[in-house]
Amino acid sequence: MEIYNNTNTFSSELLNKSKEEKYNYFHNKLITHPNLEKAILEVMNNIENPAGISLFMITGPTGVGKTTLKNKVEMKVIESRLLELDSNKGIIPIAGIEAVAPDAGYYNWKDHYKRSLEALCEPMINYKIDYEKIYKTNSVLSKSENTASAYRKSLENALRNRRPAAFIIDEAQHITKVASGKRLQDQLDIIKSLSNLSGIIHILIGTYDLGLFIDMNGQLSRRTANVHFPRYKAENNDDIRKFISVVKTFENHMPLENEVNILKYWEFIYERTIGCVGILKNWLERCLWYALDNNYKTISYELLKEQALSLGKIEKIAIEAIQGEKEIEENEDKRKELHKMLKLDFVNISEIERIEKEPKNKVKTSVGKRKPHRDAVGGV
Amino acid sequence: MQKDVSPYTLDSLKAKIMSSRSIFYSIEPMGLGTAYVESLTSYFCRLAVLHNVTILNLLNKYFIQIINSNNAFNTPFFYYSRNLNGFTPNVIKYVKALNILTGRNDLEELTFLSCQNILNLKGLLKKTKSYCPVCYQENQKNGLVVYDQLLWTCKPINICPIHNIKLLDYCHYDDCKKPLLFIDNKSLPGYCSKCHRWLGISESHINPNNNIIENYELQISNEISDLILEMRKIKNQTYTGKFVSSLNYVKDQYCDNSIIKLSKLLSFDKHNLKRYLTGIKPNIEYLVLFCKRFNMSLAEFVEGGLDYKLFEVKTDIQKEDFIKDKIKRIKIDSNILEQSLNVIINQFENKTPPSLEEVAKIIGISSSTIRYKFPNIAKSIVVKRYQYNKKQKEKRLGILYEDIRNATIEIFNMGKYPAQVLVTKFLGRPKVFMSPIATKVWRETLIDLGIKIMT
Repeated sequence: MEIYNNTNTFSSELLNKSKEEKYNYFHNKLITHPNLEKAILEVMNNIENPAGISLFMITGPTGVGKTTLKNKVEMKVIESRLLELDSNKGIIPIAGIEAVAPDAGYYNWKDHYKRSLEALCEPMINYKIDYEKIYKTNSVLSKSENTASAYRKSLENALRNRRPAAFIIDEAQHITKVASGKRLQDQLDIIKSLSNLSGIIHILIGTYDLGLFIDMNGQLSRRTANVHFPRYKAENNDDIRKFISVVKTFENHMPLENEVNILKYWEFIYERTIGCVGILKNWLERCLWYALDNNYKTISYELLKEQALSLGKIEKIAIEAIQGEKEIEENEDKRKELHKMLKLDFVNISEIERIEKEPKNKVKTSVGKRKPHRDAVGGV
Repeated sequence: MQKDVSPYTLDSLKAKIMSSRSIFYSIEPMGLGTAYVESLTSYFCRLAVLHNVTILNLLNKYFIQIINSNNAFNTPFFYYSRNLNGFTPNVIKYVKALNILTGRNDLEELTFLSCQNILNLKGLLKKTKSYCPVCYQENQKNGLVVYDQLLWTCKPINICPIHNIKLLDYCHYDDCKKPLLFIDNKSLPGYCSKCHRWLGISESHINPNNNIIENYELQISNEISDLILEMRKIKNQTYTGKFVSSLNYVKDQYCDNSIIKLSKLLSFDKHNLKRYLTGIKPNIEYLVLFCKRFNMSLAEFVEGGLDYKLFEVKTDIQKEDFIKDKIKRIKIDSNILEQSLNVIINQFENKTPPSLEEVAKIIGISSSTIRYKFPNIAKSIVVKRYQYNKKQKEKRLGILYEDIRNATIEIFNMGKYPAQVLVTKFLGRPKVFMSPIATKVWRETLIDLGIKIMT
């Protein structure tokens, strides 16, 4: 069994630096772990070889490290495109936004376009006009008519010309929060068409709510790929071992005077993180800041307990996560249902093979008898 | 080789990369390295279209700082935009600014900048845009980018060498027929910026009667398209010295050092030849002809300048080679002219008096000549016309004020408050209240009707 063990620690010089620097060191430290690595590999594969996929979804429970995944992917894409970036000053390696939670019952697409344009370094966002509208309707637009269509056209052009490897929408579950079912169906269609028209793959990162969203529309499902970024599960021994090694890695990177030894409380740690590395990191960051602030030399069990998420909160997160996982694991049942629907179960393979092997009956005709067809008439 | 990014955090790396990105998209100019390369003005328009902004916004937000212009860009810019494809000092500024803003370094090739050492700017560029409607149509049909070629901006070019049809220099729709500017505030290549309609026409719809091409036009378009193709080779080279020495050689060898004889030998105007012998650069049309006399093509000229060794005496120089070269000078008889002027003025006794321009057109001389030779007659013509126009204006305004008054009373009789908006709608003339006197008439009418003016 592979155990991910990162033995690198911080340099001893860091201990003499200010508490802000120590905290920033830990905060900026991106620690890779098996689930994260697997997800990164899958995402990178999909970015490099989209194969007809225009939308790509990454789902996982809250605090599993999806944003870290996003950051890692961004870093990898930038690394791989450095030479291209040097030669072409017009392109942007990768871009993305965080979807804003809707405040009025519907997702604000105009705002979405504007934010996306900002992410793509677009100049003069407030001066956009729709050339197509002017030339089609032969109208003279006033300055105030910055319509959503102008922003949308602008975004299409920006994606086409800036050519990012992918456009990432973080917290994409906010897009699903709409009042009516009909609108819900339209939401991803907008992103899909944006992606198709510009030829840029869109990556949606969100909680399990996003997974529900994909099944809405047949056309959409065909064009989407899904990556599940799971938490480490207690029922799986392998997962638990990996989780422990992650805790150990974090332990090694906490810049405190005495060695931090929290591994012995792993059960408690698992209980308050439900196996999500993101939650664990945030928790340890809080502990570290408190310890640095109060000049503690290490992190004690009491401190851990004090800074842990409350049971109520964790329970809520756990319920959501388990519910989401259940829906994803239902795939096997869904498959059977599909077989039933398509009547695949009634197909007898041996019968098909027998028919294929049988030689086709040839129509025999006697020698000298002409085949029935018209003879050419007229002409010389 | 892969670069090392390990010392950077994601945020610092992103910030570093974003700061090095170009402000505008680095769009590829069309037809680069071919004779049908895009013009700088077309590139400007496409840049604004792709960014979904107007040209003036584009200029005023970014160019003004880089070009160090004191004044904001305004509509006059569009009238002078034709110069952007040439080689004035301003063009260098604009090309530099565009190169910075798009992160490119090849935009100089979209202008005649590299020809500045061999050509005279006079006679190089057209004043308004001309285009090949079939090129537009074919590009659109094949899903290619529609753009304007640098070749079309060149003054002697009247035909499209790809389709062998005449270029159009106005919108081809009968109800528009307006000349097109190279850049307009919202111009889109392939469309008329005035009536916003598509300018492309398929080849089968071109009227063959309007499309008679002369051999000379074909030759010059081929020569100039070759020049554009070879333009990269010219960079910073000047052939003026060689040009002058070749002319001097011919003058000495064949013409006994006489300019008049040289002008007859080469079929060129002697005044122009004198100027060229002092080192003034020839304009593009003359350069093509000079090359022809020296048995060279323009592309060969670009390689090494005019070569006197290739010169041969030709006796069969065709008439078409004399291009607008000799200015016809007419001798003016003052007495006859004065008589004919008086006759024309008397002809219009009871009609609209003619303007000075119209009179000059009828006689066939320029208006400045009339002003110079007969100042009194010229003045009387101008004054007559001015007074007539003034009278007409007063008459027109009188009718308008009467209309306003009647409309106001009528609306009041209908039981409505005769607001200016209603009067405008009633008359069907949107700018009726532009003149302050119209408002005054309206106010007076309201007072007469005993209505309180609502503000």
